Amino acid sequence: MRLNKGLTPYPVLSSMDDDYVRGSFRAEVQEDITFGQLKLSIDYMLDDPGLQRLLTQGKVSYVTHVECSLVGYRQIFSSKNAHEDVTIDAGNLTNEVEISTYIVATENIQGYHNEQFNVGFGKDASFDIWKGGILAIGPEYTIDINRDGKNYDKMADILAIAVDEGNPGDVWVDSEGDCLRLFVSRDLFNVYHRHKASDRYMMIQTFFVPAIMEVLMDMKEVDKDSDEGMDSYRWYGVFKKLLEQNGIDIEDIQLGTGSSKKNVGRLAQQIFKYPLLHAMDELERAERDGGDDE
Amino acid sequence: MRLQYLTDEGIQYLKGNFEANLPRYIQRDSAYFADLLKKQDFLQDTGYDFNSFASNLQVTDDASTDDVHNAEVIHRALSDLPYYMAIDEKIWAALLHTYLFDFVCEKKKDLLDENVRDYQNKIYNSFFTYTRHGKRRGTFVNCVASLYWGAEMVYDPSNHDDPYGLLKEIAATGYPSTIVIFSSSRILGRRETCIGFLKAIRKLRMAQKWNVDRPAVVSGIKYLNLIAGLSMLDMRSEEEIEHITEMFYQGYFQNQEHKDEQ
Repeated sequence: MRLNKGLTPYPVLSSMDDDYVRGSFRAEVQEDITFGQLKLSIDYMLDDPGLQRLLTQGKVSYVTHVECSLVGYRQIFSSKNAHEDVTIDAGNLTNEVEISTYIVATENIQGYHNEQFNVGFGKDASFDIWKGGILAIGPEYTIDINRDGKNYDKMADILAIAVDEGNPGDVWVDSEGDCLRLFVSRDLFNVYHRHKASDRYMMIQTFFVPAIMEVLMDMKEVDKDSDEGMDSYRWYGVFKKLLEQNGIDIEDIQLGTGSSKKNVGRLAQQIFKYPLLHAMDELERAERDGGDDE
Repeated sequence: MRLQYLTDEGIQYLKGNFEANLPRYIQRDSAYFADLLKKQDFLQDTGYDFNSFASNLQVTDDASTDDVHNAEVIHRALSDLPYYMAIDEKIWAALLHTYLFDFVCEKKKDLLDENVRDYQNKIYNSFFTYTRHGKRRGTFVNCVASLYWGAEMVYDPSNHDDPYGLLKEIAATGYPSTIVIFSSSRILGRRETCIGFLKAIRKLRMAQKWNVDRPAVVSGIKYLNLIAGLSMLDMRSEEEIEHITEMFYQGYFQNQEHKDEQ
């Protein structure tokens, strides 16, 4: 986000000029992209008692502004704390992503005065600041999310749904082939195909998340036993690569319950980019649309 | 239906051979492109499904009404796409050369004529999105991708009766030219800002007191950009943006009246 800094009628704390005689505002941003999510870990460092006081009074807050101008994505993340963790769906981002840090007024502030104001603004100068007024500018970062030359998620090539006419009540996964096949009854198969476009995430959550949890458990077992059967299949290679790209070895997969990031349940959600969350959105949307019809 | 994309080689081939293929575009030869892309294996599966929508698109004598209608149809069908795919030329070029080829030809039938000035560029801009205009602007110049992105900018989930209603405000001053103006303002990329601004415009138009024409719309956008240059406009709610815009236009139109009186 580019500001016309020179146009602000009041002093702004920034390393680029001397509106303030002393003091500083810095921010360190660490980024990490895993399973299609951009995670930002932000540490704000403010050295100015006047602004610190406003922060304590809740009149200003730290703000990180994230912008991807190619797709028109803009989002602010406000915090009263010196440390903030932010998660953004990386599907909303591509190419250059600008990350800017500020201290911003969260309400109108009458007669703001700071002892560190440069005397060039006048002796004992004070200013009325509007809500949204920027009082300090920290560093800007640019992240390059380069997708050039990359093809799309090939999950569809390694997952399929098929009919088991012989065992109508059963749901089971066949992992002996390049493509994982989830066998269901004819009725379920038809339900899936009726809803797969309109309720995509509900279908993923219902059909594929449990299947992938089973598959991940199998993968861990295969690795442990050095069984060379499964890893010759294409689906195995795709999952192995996906996990490795996100810093997870197959042998680290955790079975059972628990909050570990390597737990099968959490991994399955991450692999499909949080279908449960999106499925709930679909439910609410359907409920709303249904309500509108009444 | 499965959503497909064109491989990098496919895009390069179509762009590299655009002049040679021009007669095929002019003759609306969809079979030629379908054959070519299939034979060369230029189309790949994205893994995304969409409900077929081409038959719901309309081309009549009323381009503005068509644009509003078609933007909604296209956006509803493709609303599951993440942004990085929705901005990707590989997706649009695939749709434009296959599933939507006939629609584009019908919509742009007046341009498919060698006697039209600059017809090559106009046809090129109709079938590709990354053009000499650049990626974003090129996407908003394209006659189909611009409909999707316009709908994405104004889609208002809180308006249950008519979530796409604000498209009419864009189309009121000519959809293609107005959406390009909107696309070039970074602040309007934030939906709350875009919706707040357009709601103020709608209110002004409904009051029928002033003529909210294109210069007026451009002035309002410039004003918001000016504020964004001085403060964190993204912190303002939709209602606050609407109020700021209304305040601006009161002064703007009063000034205009004053000038007219002089």
